[in-house]
Amino acid sequence: MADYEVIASGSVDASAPTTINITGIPGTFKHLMLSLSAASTLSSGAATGTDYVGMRLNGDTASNYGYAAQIKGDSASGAGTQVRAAFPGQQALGWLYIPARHSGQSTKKFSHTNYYIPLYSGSTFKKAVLTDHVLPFMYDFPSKGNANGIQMWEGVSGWNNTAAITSIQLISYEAVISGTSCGFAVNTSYVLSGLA
Amino acid sequence: MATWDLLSTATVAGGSTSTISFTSINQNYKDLCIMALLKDDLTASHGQSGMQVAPKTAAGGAMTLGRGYMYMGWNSTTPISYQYGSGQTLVDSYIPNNASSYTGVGPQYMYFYDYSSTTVAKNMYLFNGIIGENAQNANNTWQIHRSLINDASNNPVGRIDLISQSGNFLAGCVASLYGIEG
Repeated sequence: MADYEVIASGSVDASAPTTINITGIPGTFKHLMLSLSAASTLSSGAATGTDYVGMRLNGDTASNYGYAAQIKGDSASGAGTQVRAAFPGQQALGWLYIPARHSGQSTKKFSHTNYYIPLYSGSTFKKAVLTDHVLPFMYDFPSKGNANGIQMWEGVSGWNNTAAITSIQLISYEAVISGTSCGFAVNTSYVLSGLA
Repeated sequence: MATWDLLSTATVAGGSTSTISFTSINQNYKDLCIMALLKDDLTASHGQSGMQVAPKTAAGGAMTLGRGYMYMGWNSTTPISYQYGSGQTLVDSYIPNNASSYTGVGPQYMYFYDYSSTTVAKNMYLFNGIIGENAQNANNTWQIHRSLINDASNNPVGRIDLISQSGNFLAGCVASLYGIEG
């Protein structure tokens, strides 16, 4: 086993899956890093509507997750905003905005996310995840209808469980929670790495 | 192709471990990364403790640091940013403590650029946080901290200390140091 090893990687085809499932994560590493480039096929509703990506661990679908985020939005105008909030009692950790595919919006825009998951294989402490997330503007948020600019999130998430992580599921909020007909857009991709 | 090598893992066994030290850091890599999960044994009800990161020279000498710091801290509704021009030897942040029934933990990600160079000013990045008392409890313990740190001396980093400012790290806490080849 190398000290840094790609455990799993993949990309989404045109079938727009509502979840991305990474199973069989070995317990032989100490820490995990997950890189994700994501977008949603969401095209119904207001053009300003967006989707989110969430992470579930070990198949837990209950409200055992929480996260906090500090968000900086910026449009091409240079105006920015900052928001901070904590959201406990969620059905997944780290709801992060990802670009949608409303009519007229670019199919080339994807978010960029690095998840850092220390001590995923331990069982003494509950699990925590650092999230470094950036996405391109292609919708109004917050009230900045502009096709350019980016939004930056820095977040921390928790799972109220001490079990070693053996599987990760990435879910589309709109598809899985809201029941909207959509999924991850083609070319959404990920790389999960283990650190000894 | 750059590779990552595990240089050292520190697992706290318990007792009085107020400092996790990575000493005599191998100088054969370009960058360093630390991944850690930290928490200390203090019991103040607000749930947080001071944590410090101290990069040092190979001889253990202090570095002269400047940094930019942005965070959302305890019981605050406003993102806060600071600049520290120079003269610091420690990077201050926060980790969760061990208050009664408090199970929050503190994930840590640190990256040190060109740590072994004798000609390049050192740049370091610290990204860490505290998760809340539990996932269902809407309290104010959730925290996010980010620092960009600069040392203009060009001294190689030969030692890094992670310090519980006023307590001891709990048994089971882990910090791993990786060397990244250029």
